[in-house]
Amino acid sequence: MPLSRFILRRLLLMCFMLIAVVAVTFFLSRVIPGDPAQLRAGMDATAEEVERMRQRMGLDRPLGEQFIRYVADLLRGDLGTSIFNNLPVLDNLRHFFPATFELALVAMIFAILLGLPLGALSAVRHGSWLDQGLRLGAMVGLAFPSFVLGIVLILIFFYHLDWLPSGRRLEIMAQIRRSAPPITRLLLVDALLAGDFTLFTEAARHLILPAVTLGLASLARLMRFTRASLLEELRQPYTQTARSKGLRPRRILAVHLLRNALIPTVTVMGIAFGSTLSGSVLVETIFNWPGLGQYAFNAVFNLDYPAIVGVTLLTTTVYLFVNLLVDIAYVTLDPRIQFSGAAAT
Amino acid sequence: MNAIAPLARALRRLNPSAQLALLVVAITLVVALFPAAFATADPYTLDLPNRLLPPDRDHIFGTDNYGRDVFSRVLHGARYSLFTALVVVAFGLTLGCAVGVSAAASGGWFDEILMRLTDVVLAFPPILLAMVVVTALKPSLEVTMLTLVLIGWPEYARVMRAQALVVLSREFVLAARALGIGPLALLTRHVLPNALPPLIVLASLNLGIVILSLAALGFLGLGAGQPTPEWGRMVSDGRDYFLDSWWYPVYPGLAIALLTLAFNILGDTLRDILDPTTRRESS
Repeated sequence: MPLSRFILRRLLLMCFMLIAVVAVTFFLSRVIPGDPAQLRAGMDATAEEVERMRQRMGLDRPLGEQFIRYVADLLRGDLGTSIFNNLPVLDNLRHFFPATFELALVAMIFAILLGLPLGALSAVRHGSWLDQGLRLGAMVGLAFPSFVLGIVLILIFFYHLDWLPSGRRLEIMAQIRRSAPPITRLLLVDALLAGDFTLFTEAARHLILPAVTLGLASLARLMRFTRASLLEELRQPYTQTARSKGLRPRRILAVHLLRNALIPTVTVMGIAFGSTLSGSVLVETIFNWPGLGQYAFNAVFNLDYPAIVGVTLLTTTVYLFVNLLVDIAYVTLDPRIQFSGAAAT
Repeated sequence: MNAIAPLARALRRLNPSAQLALLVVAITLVVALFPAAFATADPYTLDLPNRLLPPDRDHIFGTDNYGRDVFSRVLHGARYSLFTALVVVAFGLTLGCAVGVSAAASGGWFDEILMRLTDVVLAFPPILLAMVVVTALKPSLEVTMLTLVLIGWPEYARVMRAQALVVLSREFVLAARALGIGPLALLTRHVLPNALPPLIVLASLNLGIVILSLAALGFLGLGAGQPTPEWGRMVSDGRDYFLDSWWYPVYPGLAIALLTLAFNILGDTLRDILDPTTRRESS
């Protein structure tokens, strides 16, 4: 099967999954306690007003019709109105997504830049004290809840050492003074585009603690996986061949092993990015980060169901899309893998 | 198949970290069963004059914003973490095994539907799906547990199905069939026991994840309500005071981390013992 057909098939599969995901959220939204019509009309509304609101919201129609209307609304980009701030959910998502995306991206870069080399180091020196220490570190990193880590990091680096800010993307004054026009809405990129180096440093300083908190679990996961797959390659006969040929260990590692060992790691990166996105709910709450996660947290707190569903749909879509990209990268990188249409898990 | 004998042999040869992990779990189990025997104070008694006291002799983990003893609350909270996680994993495992075995045994459209269902559940980011479901059903500890079961079963179902397919194609199954064994007896007596070891490994590795998820949902206010001393909930309550009273969120947080770490180490160890064929580290 050629690559294009593989991609097409995966895209179709993704559409199917999205419809199913929408069906699940629709079903759940009908289970939710409390009358949505009453919520929208306000608690002091009369029975007639609530009834009118119910008709306006289409809640008196048959369930099947409601679902079709729901999907049609979604396709038009209408995700409903946030009960909390009375704005269209889509506008809210647009407003909050860039902050989360920037945070997740920086967290992933941090995890990859440290996780791959540390994992490789651990594998090359396996059995040594260094390896033991790194493995234990990774275990602790996987077990430490992000919302506790965030608190500890703020205590150390903000409260005691006063090196780094404790939250937000920028200080309020800097936010007002900021010169860079919001082109991409990713602060780091916007600052660079505007050539504003002070803004860049400020934004970067604010990113360090939340990104480390968010990325630590992925870092640990990548480390463990890189170590395991590199060890697997070290056991392969071709490594022996390369050794008996008299190649230097470093060259064997760089030329032969790393490439093969890194291919499966790509899959883990995809999974890690997904968990980073959803993990941002916890981290953003700790760091007062004005992104999707904090929006979702407030939505849960206010029982703002359309908002929660909006965040979930958006995140799931990104999640599925990243998995698609990973699968494509996977089959392109490794010619041995057949395009089978099955998701690599 | 006999998993007990190699387990007992391995227990003596466990590496130090696994022995330590086992000790942590054992202590947590005892504390979860009899918290009052170890607690130095009642976990619910309010003592407003003594609020937010730093750790000292009387309150070794300090007190919270109602003057309650944090140490005693952490001890009493052990059961909400340990037992709920065990129940969640047990139910998820049972449901997943049932689905996986029946999918493998029946095949055809039934198999297809069940597997696509697992695809759908796995397509969601776990924490967000949990938030959506718990909010829809009204937050409480029971709802949170139910939700984690609903999110957890597909993984077991898929592994179980793959395992069962392998076992079903073995010769002894054919022999058992030739001897006239009924389908139900075949599944419960031959397929299930032979397919189980990787599932036990998966379940033990998932215990840590479930403890973390329970704590995370508790932190988001979606678990047990006040005044239950649930660890995640305590971290979130302590967040409002943490700059001046670090002990309030940090000790419950460390308890979560320690128990999760212990289960992760045990899960890894169990995998090395029961499932030596898969060297791939789980992610």
